[in-house]
Amino acid sequence: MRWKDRLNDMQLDVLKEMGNIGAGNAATALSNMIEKNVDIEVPKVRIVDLSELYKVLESPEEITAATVVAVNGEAPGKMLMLFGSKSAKKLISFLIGQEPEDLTKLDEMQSSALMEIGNIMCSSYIIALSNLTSLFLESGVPILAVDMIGAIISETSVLTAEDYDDVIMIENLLKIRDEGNVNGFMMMFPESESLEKIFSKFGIQ
Amino acid sequence: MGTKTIIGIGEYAVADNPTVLVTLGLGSCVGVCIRDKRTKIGGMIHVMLPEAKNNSGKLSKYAIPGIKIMVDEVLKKGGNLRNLEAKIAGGASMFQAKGFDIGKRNVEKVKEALISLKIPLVAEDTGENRARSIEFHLETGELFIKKVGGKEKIELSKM
Repeated sequence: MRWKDRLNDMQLDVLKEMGNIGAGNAATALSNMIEKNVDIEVPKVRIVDLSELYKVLESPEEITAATVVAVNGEAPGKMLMLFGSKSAKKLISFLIGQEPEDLTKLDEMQSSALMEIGNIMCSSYIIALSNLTSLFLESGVPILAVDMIGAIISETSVLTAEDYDDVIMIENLLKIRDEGNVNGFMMMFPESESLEKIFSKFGIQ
Repeated sequence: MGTKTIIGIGEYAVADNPTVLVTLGLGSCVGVCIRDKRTKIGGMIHVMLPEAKNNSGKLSKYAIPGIKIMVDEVLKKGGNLRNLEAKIAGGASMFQAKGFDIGKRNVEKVKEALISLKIPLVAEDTGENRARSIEFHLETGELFIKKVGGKEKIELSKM
C-alpha cells in the first residue's frame, strides 16, 4: 500500500499544521532550557517510497545524534530529534558547560544531557499534538543513537511503515539564534492507522 | 570495478560481473549477498522484515520469500545452485530497547531461508548496535562494510 496517491491537499495541510504547532512547542521548550531564542522554519511534509529513501538525503553518512521517542496512545508513531555533530556538541556545552570531543564516545552525563533535550522537545511536540487533535497521546522512553543519518531515518521509517511501501515524514528545521549554525531537525513519523484517526478528527477523511 | 547499482530498502538486484552492488543504512535490515563463485553472477537484497504475512504487496521486503525470489533470478541468469555462496550483514539494534529487536529476527529468518535453499553462509557481520552500509563486488566476491567507529570516523572493513 502507498500513501502517495491517497493524500489530498487538505490532508497535507493538516500534517503541516501539526508540524507547525508541534515544533513551535518544542522550540519554546528548548528555548527555556538553554535560555536562547529558537526559530522554526516552515515544516515540510514528505512522502517517500522506502525504496527511494536513500535518494532524499544529501549526505547519508553524516554522523548524527538522534533521540528516538515512540508516540504511544490513540495515534501511535515515532519521533526523531536530530542534531549534527557540531550542533549536538554545542547543545551539550550549553547544559553542562563543556563540549565533548567525540560524539561517538559520550560519557553518561553528556549523553543524558543530549537525550534529555531531545526528550523534552519530542514530548512537547507530542503534547501539542494531543491538544490539537484531542487524541490521547503520550511519549515513550527516549533512546539516544549516534550513527549515520541515513541509517537513523531508514530505521525509523522501517519501524513505522511495516506493511506500507512508503512513509510520511513531517519535518521541521529549528535554529538557535545568534549561535551560527546550531540547528536541529525534528521529524514525526505517524503510523498509517494514526493518520486515519487524525484526519477523521478534523473531518477530512 | 564495474557499474554501481544501489539497492533501496526492500528491493533486490541481480547482475553479471563486474557490477558492484550497494546498499546504504542497514539498521535492523539485513543485506543478503549471493554469488556464483564460477560465473560471478550474483545478487543483493535489502531485507526489511522476517516473513510476509500474505502473498501480496512487495515480497522483496521480506526474508521469506524475498531471498528465494532473488536466487531464482540468479539461477535464471545462468548461476548454478551448487556454486552459490552467501554473505550477510546487518540486523543491528540501533535503538536499544524493548520491541526494537527486529534485527535479530531478520537475521534468523535470513539464515533459515539460506539453509532451506542449501546455500552456504560463508561470512556474516550481524547484530551489535551500529548501522552498516555495504558494497558487494561481484568480481572478487568481497563484501565491504562501513560502520561508524571512534572519533566520528566511518570505519571500513572487508570480508
